[in-house]
Amino acid sequence: MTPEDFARTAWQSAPSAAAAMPSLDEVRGRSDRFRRTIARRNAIEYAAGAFVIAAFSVIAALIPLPLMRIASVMIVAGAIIMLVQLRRRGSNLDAGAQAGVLPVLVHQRAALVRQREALDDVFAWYIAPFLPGMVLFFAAPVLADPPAIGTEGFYRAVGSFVALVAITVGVWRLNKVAARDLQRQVEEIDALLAD
Amino acid sequence: MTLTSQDGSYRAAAEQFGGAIARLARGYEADPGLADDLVQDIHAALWRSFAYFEGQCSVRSWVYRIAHNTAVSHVQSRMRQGRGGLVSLEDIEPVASDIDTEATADASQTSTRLMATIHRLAPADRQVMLLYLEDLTAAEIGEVTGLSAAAVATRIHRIKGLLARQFSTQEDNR
Repeated sequence: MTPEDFARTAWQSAPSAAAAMPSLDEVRGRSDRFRRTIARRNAIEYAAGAFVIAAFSVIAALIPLPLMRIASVMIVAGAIIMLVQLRRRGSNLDAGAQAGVLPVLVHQRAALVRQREALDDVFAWYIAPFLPGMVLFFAAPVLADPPAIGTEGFYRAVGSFVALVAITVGVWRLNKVAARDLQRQVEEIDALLAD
Repeated sequence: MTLTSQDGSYRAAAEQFGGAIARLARGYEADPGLADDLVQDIHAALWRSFAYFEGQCSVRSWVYRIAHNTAVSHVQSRMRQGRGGLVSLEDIEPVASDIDTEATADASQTSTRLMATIHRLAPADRQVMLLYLEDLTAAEIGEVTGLSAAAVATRIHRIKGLLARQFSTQEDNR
């Protein structure tokens, strides 16, 4: 017996505590639970989007300042665009439909590329749709009643603007870093497939 | 595919490959609880997948693809939290040789040592190792993983070297 035969025999004959097969009902239940988990995750994302849409719709209806009303409508439009894009780009690949058809590394690559593209383009589909509305929303009161330089109102406006820029850049950078990490994993697979 | 034929196809595959699925899960997850959880996940994914199976490849390749894809997804979330510790076949030898230098021919100890080695392997190397230990041919390993015949051959060569170094002493003592 060669060392690899020896290893194979030991591997295949090792007692397995996990070898008991689940019943068909358990398997179906588990499958439904998986679908429910995905559905719940998506529901949270859509609920957050719906909250933004509802909140800014109310603001648009009630706020007296016309520029802020326009900004609110723009934010609502941005949220709708973001939700549509989230559904198009962010949903998981259907493992049941594709995991068996594609070789393992090809499937893993496809899943990684999909996530990487979503993260890499986050500015275009997640941040940019909100940005004009948010900038206008913050700028509207300042434009309506410009504070004198050096006053408390001036520094508050500058602070708000800096915070908006910092949050935007922070979200964008975090996603870029995550996309780069995924790209490294894609390149590892490419190197393996190119061997 | 109707629900009944989906059930039937799943049941036949699960009976044939149930043991291999359980071993594969232990190869991916060191923790017994997580391995059990992974077994259940693989069975659920397998059942779902048979709604889409139309003989695109052999049932064996199909089952192993589903199992490995589910297993990789299972461990990837934890890897993202604390990567590291995984090495390629090129780098693992000095680590593996430190695990146990005593020659003990007991099969369960062999399995334990094998497992310790497997758990340190990077995903693609782990896939090849697990499929190799399940007696798949190089061509079948290529079909399941997507690696070229040359890449599979290279990895199998390294696996053989690794196993020879780790188990030749035990074999000599038998």
